[in-house]
Amino acid sequence: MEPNLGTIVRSISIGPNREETGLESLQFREEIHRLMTVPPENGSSFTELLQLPETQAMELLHSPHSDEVVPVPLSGEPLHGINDDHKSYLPSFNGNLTFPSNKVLIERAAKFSVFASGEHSPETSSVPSDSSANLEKVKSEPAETDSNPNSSQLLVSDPAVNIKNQRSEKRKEREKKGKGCTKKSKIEISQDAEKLPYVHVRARRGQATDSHSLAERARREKINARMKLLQELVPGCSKISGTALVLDEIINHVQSLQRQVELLSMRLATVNPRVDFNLDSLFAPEVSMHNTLSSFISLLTKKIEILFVSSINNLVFLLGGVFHCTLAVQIQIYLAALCFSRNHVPQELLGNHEDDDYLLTNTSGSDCTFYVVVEMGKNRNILIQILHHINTHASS
Amino acid sequence: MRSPSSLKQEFLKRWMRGLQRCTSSKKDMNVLERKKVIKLSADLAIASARNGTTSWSRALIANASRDNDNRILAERILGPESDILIKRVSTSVGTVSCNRKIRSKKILKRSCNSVRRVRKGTHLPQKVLAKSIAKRLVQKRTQILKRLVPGGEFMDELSLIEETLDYIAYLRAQVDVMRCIASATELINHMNIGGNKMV
Repeated sequence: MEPNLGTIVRSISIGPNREETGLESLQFREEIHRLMTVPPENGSSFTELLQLPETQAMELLHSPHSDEVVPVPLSGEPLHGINDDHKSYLPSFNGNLTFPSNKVLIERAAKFSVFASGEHSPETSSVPSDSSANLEKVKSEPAETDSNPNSSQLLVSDPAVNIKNQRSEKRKEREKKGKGCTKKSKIEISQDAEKLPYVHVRARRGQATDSHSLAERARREKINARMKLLQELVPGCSKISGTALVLDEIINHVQSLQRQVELLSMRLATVNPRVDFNLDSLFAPEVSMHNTLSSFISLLTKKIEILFVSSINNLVFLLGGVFHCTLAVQIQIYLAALCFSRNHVPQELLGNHEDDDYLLTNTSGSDCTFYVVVEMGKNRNILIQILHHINTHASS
Repeated sequence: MRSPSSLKQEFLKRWMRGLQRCTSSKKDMNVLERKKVIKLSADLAIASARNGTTSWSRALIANASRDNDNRILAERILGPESDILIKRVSTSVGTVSCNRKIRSKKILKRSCNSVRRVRKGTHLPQKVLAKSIAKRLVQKRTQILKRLVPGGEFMDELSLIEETLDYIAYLRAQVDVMRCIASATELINHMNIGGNKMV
């Protein structure tokens, strides 16, 4: 039964090209050509099919192959269906190819046979050339076309080479290649791999399987993953496809950012007469000496208001000033600012003065040069409240 | 990666400290000098924030300390821990330059081979032609990118992309902080002027 099926399939795959004449042959060839371009997209589903029956594939490979080729169908039912189809197809073969299921089968047979040969020479597009050489693969095809996950042998071009090239490191490549695999199948594979003495590398359809190209492919996949990250980072890049264009965008982005840095540093240089602009020049006329804390705080709140209104939100800016105040008040301010900045957790910061990203204080005598680097935005109200609180507290 | 806001704060803190350190020397500087100082301190700030973990930061510091006149400034900006940092940077950069010659030879060989291969095939199928063209485009662009990212000329593609990721994050933080401070300063200046006039 099974050899018969094999021969039937073989004849079908070779047949159309010899027995058809004229238009039909042209049509068929066109369809085949069209289908040949389709397989790369189906490659993932194909590997999905392939991935699952690993153990069975293993056994098949090792079972001695005699001259007759043994197809692999592991479920009986679909074959019966195929047999019926074939039987009904054959008599009317001379006529038109109007049986859709058979047509699909034939096309797939042709496609797989061509593709299997295509692994060796991707440029060849002739159907019948290697169909005889790829009998094994053609025969395993019927079970696959029924999308039976339990079917099939390995359809890798060089199974022998494959076995020889096994290393445990290849396991990673293989799992990577299982794109479109469900998680369950991956787990099965890894479990199976553990049991086997060596690891099968599962190449995708139409790809070489020697160690160099595998390593290259892994490297390429790494690079592609990073490129995706970059695409997300750079605005407006996620829709672009193609490495060169994405790189273009990235280059433009980096260049624009660098230019902005230049411009901004120029701007800062012109705005301030002195380089340490954040120290005194920010508050120069007003700050000379604040005799009272309250005036300073009112000034600060005014500034916060203004800065906030001018839509510098969620950004870092400096509040600074020099004023007279006692040490106690200084400490209070310090703590309040820290409390604000760390979201109301002052206790742990009492002794931790080095770790303030937010506060640079420079106390000398009774003066307190006081800079609060504050991240504003929704916290503005809190800061104002705290300052108000300090004000009332200090005055009392 | 660190969150952008912590990156900004780190950068700001170091930048301000660097500026403080370097302004104590000269009192009058013209605009260009100021700009240079600001930019330099900003670059060094973020580079030191990375602490030599990334290649571009090391390259930045190395570039900054290469010219003698910059070097003193850079050292002062970096502050007391500059010696350690510069030593670490110089050692790493040294190894890079040693690999440079070997790598460039390899790259030359590879590029020659690929060019030879392409020219030999007089009748190449469309697909392969298109692929080689695409490859060349990508190669050109990676070369440009290598020139942009500091210290990127002697890296392979994978690390180049990682460095670019980092570098872009840094540049963004730097631009945000500088822009904020610039506008804040301008605003306050306006305020001061307005206040004075009112008073």
